[in-house]
Amino acid sequence: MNARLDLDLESPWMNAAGTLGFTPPERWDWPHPAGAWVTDPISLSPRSPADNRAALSFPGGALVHSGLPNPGLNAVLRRHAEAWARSPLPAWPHIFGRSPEEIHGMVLRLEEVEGVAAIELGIDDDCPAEEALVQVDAALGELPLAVSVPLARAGEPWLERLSRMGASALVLSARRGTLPDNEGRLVSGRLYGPALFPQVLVAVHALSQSLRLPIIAGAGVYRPQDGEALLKAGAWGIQLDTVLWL
Amino acid sequence: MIEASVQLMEVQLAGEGLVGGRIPCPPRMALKPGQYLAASAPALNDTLPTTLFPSQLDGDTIVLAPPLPAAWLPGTALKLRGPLGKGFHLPPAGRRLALAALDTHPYRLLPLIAPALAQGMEIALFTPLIPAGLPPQVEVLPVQSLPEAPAWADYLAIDVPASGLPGLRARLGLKPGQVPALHAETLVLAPMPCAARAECGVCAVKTKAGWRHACQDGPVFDLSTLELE
Repeated sequence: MNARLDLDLESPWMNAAGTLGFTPPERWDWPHPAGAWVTDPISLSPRSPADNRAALSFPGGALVHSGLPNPGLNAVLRRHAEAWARSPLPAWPHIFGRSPEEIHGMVLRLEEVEGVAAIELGIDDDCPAEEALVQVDAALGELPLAVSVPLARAGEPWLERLSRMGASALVLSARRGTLPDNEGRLVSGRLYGPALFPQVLVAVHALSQSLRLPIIAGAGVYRPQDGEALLKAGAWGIQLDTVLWL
Repeated sequence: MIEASVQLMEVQLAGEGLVGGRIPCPPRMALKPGQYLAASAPALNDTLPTTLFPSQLDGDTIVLAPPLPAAWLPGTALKLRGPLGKGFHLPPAGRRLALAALDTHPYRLLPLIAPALAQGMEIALFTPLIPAGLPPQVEVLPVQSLPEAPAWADYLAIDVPASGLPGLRARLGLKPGQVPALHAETLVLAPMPCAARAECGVCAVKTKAGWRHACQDGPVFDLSTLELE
């Protein structure tokens, strides 16, 4: 598996995009050391918060909807690139874009930034498979590429093409869901919590048999033993999400 | 910012079905009015931290403003992180303090009362409900009287949900674009799931300088800096 050689992790544990901000963590509250840190999602242009942003709990987890607000790539680099360069942890900027040109431009820019060890490309729930593959192609450059897809898409056939294209890893990230808010309005957002662990475990187990690509489990891990079970089931890395906020 | 483990000492019925509580104040935890703690109960498998505001600070214990999670009972072990965010700035030379709880209860404003009384301030509380144990020096007024506050007070502390910001100027009796002639600060109540860990954006507040995060740039903002229209 040549792709695996692209990525170099001293420890399989890291955070999920959106959980530790744009600067490397000053502290890491987990029994196992971190092998990398992933930035909050970054778009090329500044992006405002969603109007209906929310954080709603349900038995077994929580829904968080923010609209992925961020100041845009230029502002992120202006404010934080020095910290990325100084950090002992390799940085994986998580990027997302509206077009392949936009994504390609962001990757070229990030290749020049010290401390960046890999790119994580976010593919959203609604992106058609062909479009997702075009985005992946646009993100392939000198740096290893981890493609992040929602857990709900783990069984889609297009994922088999990622390895041949040159992607370095597949990240199974938080899936979307919908809950009523306090006033009964339906809000859609990312789901987090231990309720997702059985789903990510079955997906990792299946994909590790069929996919020639390192798999990073990025949902549902709230206890060290959950992550260890995923590693035993074939995961190459583990991303922690809101457990890092507790 | 420090981290500490404590046990919930008691839960308190605060009226109107609201439940607050009390915890021991961890050593070196210098929580100020308007600041908050991020708390979780490890035994209850929390997914997100709970935001805790003080309603009374007496040095040894912290009385927690409602609401608390229904699953928290006396003795529940809590992991705390704080103090977080920016709190209120009671002016040292202030003479008349107005407190206003808009579309919410007044408990998060109550920690301002003791230091205000200590410096001899007169206090008016504009509130939809009267909390128990209020000192007799505090005059309680209906929220509808709030337009009187800017002319009387020299410091105004407001607690309002983020959804209430667009109408706030009118509720203060001000015209569009008009700035109150007194020092006014606003606790903007918004969900703060990452509690300053991630800039997750859920608590984003629009200010005249752009979007800011209530969890780390607030939750208390100078009213004149907020984009209210």
